[in-house]
Amino acid sequence: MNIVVLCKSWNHKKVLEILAALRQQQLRARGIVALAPEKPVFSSLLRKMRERGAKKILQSFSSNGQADSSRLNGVMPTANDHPSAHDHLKNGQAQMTIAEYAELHQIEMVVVRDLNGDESVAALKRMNTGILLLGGVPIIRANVLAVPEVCALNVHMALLPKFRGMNVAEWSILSGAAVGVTVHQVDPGVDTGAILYRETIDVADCPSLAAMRAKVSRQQHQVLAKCARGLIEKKLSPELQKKEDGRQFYLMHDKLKKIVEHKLSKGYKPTGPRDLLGFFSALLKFALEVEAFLVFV
Amino acid sequence: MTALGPGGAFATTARNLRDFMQFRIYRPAHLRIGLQDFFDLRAPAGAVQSNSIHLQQAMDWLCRAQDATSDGGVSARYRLSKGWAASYPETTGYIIPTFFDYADLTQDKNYRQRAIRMADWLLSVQLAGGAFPAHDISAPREPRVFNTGQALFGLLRAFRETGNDAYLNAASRAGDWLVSVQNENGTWSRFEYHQRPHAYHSEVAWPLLELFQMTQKPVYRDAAVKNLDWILSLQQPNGWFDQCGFKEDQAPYLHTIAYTINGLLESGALLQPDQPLDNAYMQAARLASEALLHRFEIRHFMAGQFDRNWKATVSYSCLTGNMQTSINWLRLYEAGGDIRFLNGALKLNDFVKSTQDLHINHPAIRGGIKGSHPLWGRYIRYSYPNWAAKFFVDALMLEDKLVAELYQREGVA
Repeated sequence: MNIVVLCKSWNHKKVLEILAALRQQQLRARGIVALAPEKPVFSSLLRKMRERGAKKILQSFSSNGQADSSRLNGVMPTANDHPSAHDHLKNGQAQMTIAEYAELHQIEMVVVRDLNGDESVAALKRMNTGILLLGGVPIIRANVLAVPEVCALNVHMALLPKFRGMNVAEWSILSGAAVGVTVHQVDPGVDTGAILYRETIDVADCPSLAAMRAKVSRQQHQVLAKCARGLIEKKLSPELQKKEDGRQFYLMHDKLKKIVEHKLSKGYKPTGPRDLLGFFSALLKFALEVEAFLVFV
Repeated sequence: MTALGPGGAFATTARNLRDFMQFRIYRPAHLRIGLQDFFDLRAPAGAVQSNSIHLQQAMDWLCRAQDATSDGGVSARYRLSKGWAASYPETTGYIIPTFFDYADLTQDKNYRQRAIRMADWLLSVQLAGGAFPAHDISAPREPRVFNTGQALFGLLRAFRETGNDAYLNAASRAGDWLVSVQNENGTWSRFEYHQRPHAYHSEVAWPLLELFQMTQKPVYRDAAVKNLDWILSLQQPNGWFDQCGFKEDQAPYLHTIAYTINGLLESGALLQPDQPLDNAYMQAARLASEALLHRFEIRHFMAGQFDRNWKATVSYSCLTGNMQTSINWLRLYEAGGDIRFLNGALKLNDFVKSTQDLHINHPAIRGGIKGSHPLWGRYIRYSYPNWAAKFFVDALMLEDKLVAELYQREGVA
């Protein structure tokens, strides 16, 4: 079954981590469909300046799209062997571009102007996409989601269905809930697709937000690759979400992140309802064991 | 509508051109803020100053607006075309509580004295029937429902602060007039903008409920509830309120949408203080606020006008509406603990803080809040209205209080 990764062409680290995790599961991506960096058309630039402020836009130029567009056409590395994606991640930093990695490993890469456009759909169809993995992309429309034979998969940095949207690991901590990751099928809603797998992550050893995000990020790609294998082997069954079971969260303001940092610096332990659920489950289990013992006696 | 008609492209272009000519761009300060807005050279997010600095500057600006008129009222706005306007009874009414609150915060009696001067001026402009006039006092004095409701805020607060019966008597006369001109179905259309009822009259119902609390006369409460129930009937499943704009044929400004929400929210909190979220008015306010929050968070920008599908119809931001919305979100967070509202309000406040010029020498611009961002946006264009600064101060004071409480609960230094 063909696995295809849908991503932004400049999101090197995330995509290389996914590819590395796939390799660990003895899986290989059939192709990569990547969004091209946006060109600074004057009208869109002016609109963004009005919406976000000129200084922010100027700052973003030096960091992502512009730098990456040149790297996409960069010179190939001269290594004779084919190193794994992990080798391209030194100290958590991407040492090569996605395009370089794809060429090195003979993975077909298509760069498109719009991930939801016809070009993208055609590329996915040509690659006979069985499972589509989303690697940090904007909202993907139904026309693209309809292409994969099995489904589109996304990994989410919190336990669904409660925390949907953005900065969800931070929101989990702010709410006192457990931190974790969820692999879910993608539907046209925001993080509302059927859940395939959830895993809690202990972040008590993460003293800062950056450390916490790095740990969760590392783990989420492993889990995504495991789920891809689970789907191929038909070992996973989807659990439908109800819209009312969760809420959508948005980018967290720095004043609230300060609380999250504070909680992490104290060694974060969840205090939310999930723990209560665990407590009552343990209590019930204990009661059943006592009852069984009494019956036995 | 034709290109040459009153609302056509030709008329719009002509109006835009006329407004721009009045902008007096040849003045260095005007040129500076014009260029700043054209290139959107705001302070980037996260680089704005602390709230106390922005607050102080806005309060200084409001003091200058009061001093710009000799009567004790607050000048309606600073216009780049014509300078300071005359005192405005409606907004002076609701600026009074802001000054009392800031006096409490800073323990500076000067603000309290200024608030009392404003209240005394209000007494002097009350019309014979008990109503307060529309527009600033340079215009012919015609009674207006909405403006009377806003004057009530100031009179009631001045009475609470000073115990002077003159304020309560004036408030009662204003309340009696509001009740007397109300329609059978709870709406107000006579003595109103375009002679039609508006959903934002929830902002009249709220001070009537406050007047009821103070006087215990049920007639005020009944009039308020009747109006609020009519407003509830206007709400659509997506949270939108029909008739929440100034005009039927224009997408409503965020300013009047936020008024509508605020009146419902505060009325709900007054009628059911123990369980505010169970109140139907509060729930209606919450539904509309959630829709706005979603729009803002998705676009990272709050537009100045919306259609009934909550679709932004313009690319400018109505800064007054932003601050009113921020207050609504902060109050919803306070009432129900949904921290997403606090998060949204923090960002909205940062945005408006980034548009406040703290350094320009021009005293009528420094510390003021524009009607629109950019300056030529449709809402109170090329002007600094006093109500924008008032809501800005209210929002920042409430933010500071709620964030301090949250930090204390979480043990954050």
